[in-house]
Amino acid sequence: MTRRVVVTGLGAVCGLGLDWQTMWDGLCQGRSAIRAWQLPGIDDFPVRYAAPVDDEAFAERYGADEELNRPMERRARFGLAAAGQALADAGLDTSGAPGRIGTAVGSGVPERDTHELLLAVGDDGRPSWQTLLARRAGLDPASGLLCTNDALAASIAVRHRLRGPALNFSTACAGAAHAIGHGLRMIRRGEVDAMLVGGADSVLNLPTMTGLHLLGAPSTSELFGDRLCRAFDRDRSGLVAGEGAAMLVLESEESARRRGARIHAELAGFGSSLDAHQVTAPHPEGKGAALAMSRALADAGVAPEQVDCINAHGTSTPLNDPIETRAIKDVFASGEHYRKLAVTANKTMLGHLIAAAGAPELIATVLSVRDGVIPPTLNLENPDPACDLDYVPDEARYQEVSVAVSNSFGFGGLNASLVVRGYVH
Amino acid sequence: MTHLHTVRLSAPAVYTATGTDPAALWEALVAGKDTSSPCEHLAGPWPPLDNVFLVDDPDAATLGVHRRVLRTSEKQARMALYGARLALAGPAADGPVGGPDWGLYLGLPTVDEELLRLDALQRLHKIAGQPGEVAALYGREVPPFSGLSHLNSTAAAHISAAFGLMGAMAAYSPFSDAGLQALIDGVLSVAEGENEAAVIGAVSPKVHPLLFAQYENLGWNGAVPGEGSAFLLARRTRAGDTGPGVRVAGYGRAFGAGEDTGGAAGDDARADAIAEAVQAALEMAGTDADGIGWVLPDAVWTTSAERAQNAALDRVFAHAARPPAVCTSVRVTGVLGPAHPLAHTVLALTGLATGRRLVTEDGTVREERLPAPRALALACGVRGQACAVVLEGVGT
Repeated sequence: MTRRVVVTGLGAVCGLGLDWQTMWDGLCQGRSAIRAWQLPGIDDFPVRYAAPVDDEAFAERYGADEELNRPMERRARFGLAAAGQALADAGLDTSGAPGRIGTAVGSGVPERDTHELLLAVGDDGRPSWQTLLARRAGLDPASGLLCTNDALAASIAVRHRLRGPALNFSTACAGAAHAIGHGLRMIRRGEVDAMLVGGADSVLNLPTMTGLHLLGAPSTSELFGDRLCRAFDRDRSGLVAGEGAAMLVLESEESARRRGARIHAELAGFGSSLDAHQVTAPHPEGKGAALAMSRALADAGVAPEQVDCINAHGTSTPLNDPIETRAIKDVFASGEHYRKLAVTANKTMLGHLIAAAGAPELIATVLSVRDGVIPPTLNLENPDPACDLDYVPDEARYQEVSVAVSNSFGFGGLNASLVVRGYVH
Repeated sequence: MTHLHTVRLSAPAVYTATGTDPAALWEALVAGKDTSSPCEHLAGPWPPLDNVFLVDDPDAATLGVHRRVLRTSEKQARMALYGARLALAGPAADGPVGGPDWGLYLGLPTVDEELLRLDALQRLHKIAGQPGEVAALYGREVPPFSGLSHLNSTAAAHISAAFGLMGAMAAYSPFSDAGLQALIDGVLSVAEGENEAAVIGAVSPKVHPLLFAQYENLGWNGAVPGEGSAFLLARRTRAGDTGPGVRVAGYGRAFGAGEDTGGAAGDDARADAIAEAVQAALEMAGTDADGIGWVLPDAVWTTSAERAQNAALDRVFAHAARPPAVCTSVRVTGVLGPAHPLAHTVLALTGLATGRRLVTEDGTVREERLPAPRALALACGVRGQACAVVLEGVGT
């Protein structure tokens, strides 16, 4: 018999707050973390809005935590903080059966910093290996030159003495969702009893933002101020980048019940797919997205008609939103069930956390199911005719949510969907 | 393994300094060929190595893709795409490849590539104190598609698009354990009915100055890096599959490290994790140390991982009546990162299919009869990740 998997712990660090409760309150109140933003020392970078983590508040909260204040990438710092929160929320003692608890994290590109490369430039202005080697001792280990994508998963495992598998997923904006989905599978198979899963990312640095900007991904519009992220709106013009981390403790039902843990919800299914289309654009008919949702529902043993809510990928980009709408309509076509779905886009408040995005959005999905609240899609003032679902505009909606789906679709058509169900023993 | 479907591994392919034929990799090891080449063509006055193991950067014609694919990829992604093409050549000749039931599981390194060309660093050096000028330099010099080419998962997008793969997928990074994670989860995706077939592959990082900066930071033991990719196909066993084949009979994965994740991890904890992963794989395969005929250890490139792997293997096989042969491909491929355990899997497929194994003795490699129809492939991530897979011949 397949083991059921439940969510027993949550942790989040994002622009909306430094814990999951504050994030959830913000989402339910329709509060946005998106604000005017500039790269340090640069006043004319074309991308002018983002959803950064409040560094002062973070320092105030975690200033005494020596381990979090060692040199490391921003994403690792946020991820370690979120992981600690999630384990505390779960009340999970990780010292007892270390090999039965693993970790899986979704990550993106290292946080490269221009100035690190300058270490390789000698006084004569020429780059040289010997110069880099000579100065390497002084190179910040947080630098993108030295950081690797598995550093966070390993750091979490070391800090919390987790001796189960430690995996790092690289599937672009679907990274966290893949990490969570594979954590679900590993518990189901009995490979582990619990997994600490999620993602962390920060792209708010010059090299990465330049790369994203040159692709035309982030909006450069100044028409709407901090209401720039307008998923499913006619006037959407690109993503708004955010940063942060979110982690969840997944646990077998048996393990959670044995130790009397509070269960937030059941993680019931996971599905993934590829678009097999283009690197630069999603499949125009949303076939990959539809496959991921269908597979996740089948994995959960849930019929499309049972779904009440979709936490959409909803990037506010011209291509994603109508294509995701079309995919939802395909999957929920029977009886035109798509007309009954509440679809919400958290990125209008959190910004796009890129590789980590699926994790805070899954937390929101879990809490929608648990609390019966669907956060709004902000700034949806003029719906795009190609986006004609119920996107819960303006204000949170209070309604019972038995089953919900969370979508994450990565660059190049790497897709993942997760299904959450209210926990009933 | 608990599963719904039996799965066979087939279509092995490698693209390394030994060429594009798995048989050539085997022969190069036995013949003791020198497949390394000088790295003088690396740009600038970079790292202090005479020879490394290089492959040509495949062009669009070799890859069978439009030239625009080259703009959104770099050498690493192209090596992966070529490896996938080599692996799928056979299956494509036998029938349709791709579609919603064909998945993709990849082990991918971080993309080590400077955003600014090295010669732009001189300009950067001059304006380093002026952030606005630096941003302007980036705007001028950064390649327009770097947001994609620097993203390692773009390799998955290219392979998916080239072969019409729409099945379940995952990609792992950045070190050797990523290759075996891809193998384990790719096989499971077929065994559990998620995919009918899964293309499984991994690629090395390209040899690049930034790679050496990471190596140095993580406790490099001087092992020589190589370039390449290795791919294979996991496919649901079909009615006509009566001939010899290979399956994943068991796997294990664990983690063990000391307190300091920035550098060398605690050797004992690492050795424990590796031994634990091996024992789990043996147990799942329903065998023990005596049932393994050939061990293909990881091509570890840190001193700590090397010590830990040796200690773990000593521990597991200490009481075996007939200790298995141990052999790696490193002398003809260099260290291939995530691709290494999959290159070893390809070697094991060859050995299991023909009842042979490779043995290292006195610095040379020879082949001999495989005494037990099982091989053990290992991967030891740099920070303490450990994966082990037992490969078993079927119908042999």
